Amino acid sequence: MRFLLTLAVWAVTAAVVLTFFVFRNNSSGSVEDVKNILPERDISIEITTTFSTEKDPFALNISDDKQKAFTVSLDGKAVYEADTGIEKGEPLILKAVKLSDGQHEVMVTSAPVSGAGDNAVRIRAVMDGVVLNDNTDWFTDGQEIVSVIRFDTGKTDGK
Amino acid sequence: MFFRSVLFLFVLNLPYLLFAQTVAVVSTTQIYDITKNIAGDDVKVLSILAPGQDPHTYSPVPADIEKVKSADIVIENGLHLEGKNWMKNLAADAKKPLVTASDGIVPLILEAHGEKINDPHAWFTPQNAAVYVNNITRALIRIDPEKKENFVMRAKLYLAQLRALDGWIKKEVSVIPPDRRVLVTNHDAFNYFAKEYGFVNTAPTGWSTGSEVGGGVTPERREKAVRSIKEMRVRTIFFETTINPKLIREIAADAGVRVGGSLYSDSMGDEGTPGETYIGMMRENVLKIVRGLK
Repeated sequence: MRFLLTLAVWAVTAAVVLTFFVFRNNSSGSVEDVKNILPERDISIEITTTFSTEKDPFALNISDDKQKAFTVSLDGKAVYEADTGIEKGEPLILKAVKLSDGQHEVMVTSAPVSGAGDNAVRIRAVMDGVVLNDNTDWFTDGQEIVSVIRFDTGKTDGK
Repeated sequence: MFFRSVLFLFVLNLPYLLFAQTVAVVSTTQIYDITKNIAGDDVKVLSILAPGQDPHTYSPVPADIEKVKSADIVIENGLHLEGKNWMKNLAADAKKPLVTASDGIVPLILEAHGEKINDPHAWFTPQNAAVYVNNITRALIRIDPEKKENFVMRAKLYLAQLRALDGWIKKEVSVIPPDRRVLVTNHDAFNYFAKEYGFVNTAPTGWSTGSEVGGGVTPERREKAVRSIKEMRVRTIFFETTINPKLIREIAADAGVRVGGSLYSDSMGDEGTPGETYIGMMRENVLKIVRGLK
């Protein structure tokens, strides 16, 4: 009898401890949750190129993995993709990009433009009229274009 | 006893069942090389044609039928490069799925004897080779979806190499003055190359070395080739690795020009030669063309 009672008390104690840990893990909130409760900011991303884009004849186009000639990704997710429409010297402005406070990264990739000489990509991140980062990368003729900038929406004092 | 025998056979075949490789049988050496670059070690790639063999005039042998029977997929160039559709027929007889590597390419149209013929030599630009890469990658993913990631990663690297090849060709041929960009070879294989890189080309033999409509050498074509060489003040003409150079040597003697060596056309080079890969054959061709014409 005493043995059964001891076993029952042990089982109840173990269940309570387990429930506590499960509850704590669920309610502690991930980094994602913390980000979501912070105020979001409207950011503009401005991209200017020294070349116009065209459909890339060397892209891999298998059914669910169609590569576009020009892509912009924000924090690892594609936010703009196009084969054509990017014109030399005309800024592409992605407005009202909602971001939480903290570090963010914009990456621009483009198929190389052969025979057009050296190429450049300028990326600006602007929040409420304040430039958070402004960077220009140069690429030699035919080189694959990959340009990255990082900015912090917690800072509003320029670069 | 019966069950023991079945079990024994099962165990005996287990390695085959577990490690059996997908097999792709392709028609030409160019398609073999492109497919190998995507397939790597994940697929066993077999070619019907050996280096130096002519796809226009080839007749399949019994060993080819056995090869195609072992295939999970059959890949041809298409556009009637394989004379009398020998690869299509092999695949149909063995009831194997057939993929045409040139699907999606807008073919150049050749006119002969009042008939319009699609030029089959589409691989002669890296841009078209990229279309082959896409078609072959899709086909390999279809037959072995578990290896998709490997195929895609290899295809992306190979496409980057084709892009580099295209840029390199543009730069190298730019040293040939435009009025000297006249390419004379055995047969009409270089139309895609000529169009992409600003050449005029002419050949004494039509689009095929075989007996199809518009193919073969005729006295008129031979005469026209000699006339074009003189009118365009061509300095150098070329023969092709798969074709007897006798005709080109005679034409060179008639027109008073030099022979600039052999170009890879319908077949790549033997193992160990600079032309054993697609990129190698294109590189060697361009080197000879630039040296001969600049």
